[in-house]
Amino acid sequence: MFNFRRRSQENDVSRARAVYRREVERLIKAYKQGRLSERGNLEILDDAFRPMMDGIHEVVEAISAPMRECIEVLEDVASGDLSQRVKGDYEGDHARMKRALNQALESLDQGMMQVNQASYQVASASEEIASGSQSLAQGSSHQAATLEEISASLQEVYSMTKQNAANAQEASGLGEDARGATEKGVDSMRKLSSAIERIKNSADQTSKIVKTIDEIAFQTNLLALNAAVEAARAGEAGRGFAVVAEEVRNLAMRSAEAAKSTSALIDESVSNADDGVSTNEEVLGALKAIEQKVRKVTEVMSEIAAASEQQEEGIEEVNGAVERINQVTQQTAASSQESAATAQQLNSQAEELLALVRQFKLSRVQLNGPQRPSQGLYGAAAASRRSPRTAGYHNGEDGDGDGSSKSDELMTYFDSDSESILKDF
Amino acid sequence: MTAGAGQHIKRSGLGGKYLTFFLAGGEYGLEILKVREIIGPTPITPVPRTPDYVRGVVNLRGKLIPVVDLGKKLALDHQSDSQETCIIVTESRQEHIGAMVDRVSEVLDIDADDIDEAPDFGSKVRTDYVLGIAKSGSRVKILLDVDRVLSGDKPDVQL
Repeated sequence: MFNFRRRSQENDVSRARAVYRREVERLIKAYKQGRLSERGNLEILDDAFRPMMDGIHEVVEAISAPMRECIEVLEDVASGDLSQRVKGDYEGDHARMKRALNQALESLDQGMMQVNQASYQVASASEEIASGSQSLAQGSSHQAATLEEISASLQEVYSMTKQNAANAQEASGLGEDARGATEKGVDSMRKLSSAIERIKNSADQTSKIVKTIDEIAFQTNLLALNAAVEAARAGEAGRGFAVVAEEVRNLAMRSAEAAKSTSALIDESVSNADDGVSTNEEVLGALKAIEQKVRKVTEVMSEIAAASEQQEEGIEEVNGAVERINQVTQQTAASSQESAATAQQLNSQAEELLALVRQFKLSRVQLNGPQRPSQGLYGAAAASRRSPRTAGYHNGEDGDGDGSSKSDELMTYFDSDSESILKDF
Repeated sequence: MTAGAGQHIKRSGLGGKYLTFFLAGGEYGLEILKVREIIGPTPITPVPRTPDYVRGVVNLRGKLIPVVDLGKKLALDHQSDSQETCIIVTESRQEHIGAMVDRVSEVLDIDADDIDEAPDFGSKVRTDYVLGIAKSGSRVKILLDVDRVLSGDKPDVQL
């Protein structure tokens, strides 16, 4: 019995060993092929081999557990989740692997975060630039319009000044003519004066002659009267002689009368000449005064003409300056429009970058979702349009982003951190 | 001469030729036959101790003739001498006396009918040297009696 039993026992042992060896060989083959989840079938194993199989299982488990976790984490990373870390407690090479992987992930995570932040900054800054450039462009076009008005006004002033200068020149010429005429008038008055003086002298001469005639008439009258007396004394004989004497006397009376009226006329003409002389004197004085005044007027007109010409030159210079300002303004408008377009391009590129970064899930997402400042070209509508997208990265902490209230805070964060971020880049 | 004396007596026969002249604005007449000649303004030499109406003497072609200011003699307003002042040389009783008048006028034939007697101004007024008053249109000419006006001057001059 015993022997049998022994013999049968010996058979059993060899059979169990064979099962075990087969099982181990299968496992080795599977493990070689990377199927680390394969396990030996403990049911078919003899009790004596079970602890050994358990040992093999433990070894394989110790090797594959960290590998599995690493695979899971890397699979998550592959799908864009950079927030996963290897968490298992490992020792030795496994601990090294865990550390290396976690460090690599951390670096990637950090880098992505910084890219994200920088992209937001670029987007925000480019928007501001776009807005600023747009304002500048608008301002420049306003300026250009105003300059156009100024230029038109200047043109008007210029033509008026030109007219002024021409008028002053003409007035100056007229004044010159008037002065010449006045001088001629003064000359003529002098001639008139001497003519009147000559008339007076002639009148005096004539007066003397008339006086002589008057005296002769008087003497003739006396002679005629004496003849009449003699005739009367001669009585009848002197009758014819008396008639002749009477005739002579009549002639004498007539010539005396004529002399008297001539004398009166001469006196009148002399007094008229005297009046003429004094009037002439007055006219001469008036003409001289006119001449002086006209000379003054001519001087003033010349000054006005000169001043107008200077004004004209000044306006020309101003016009040139305005033209140059206008050119600069046009350039500014064009440049600012270009700058606005470029900034918008930059902005859209930053948006693209952000979209790329958003494909990754990052660990410290609360720093990744800065609100855009609700100012500039897009205003509050733009900010609220973006809010829901950015909200996802806040892990609900910031809700759906009351952009305007947070923007300042976030901007401050960016401003204070931007240097270090740039350094890291 | 005799004919003149005869006319003188007959007052109604005053008509005839008269030499008229002006004195102080009034017109007077002298019988033409009493007039020798008329002379123009001539230098008169004053004679001392004579009445104020005696102007002096003139030398008329070598003959001295006393000159009486007739205006003064007849107590008329004084007229200053002018260029027309003349001396009428009269002949009265063979004597020649010059009468200074303002202006001689003409030799006029006056009709006797136009001559009136001098009006009576009262007993104290002397009108004896007026022959009569001739009317000529609206004007009046006093005809003087040469003998009475000037004869009394001869003795003065002779003094």
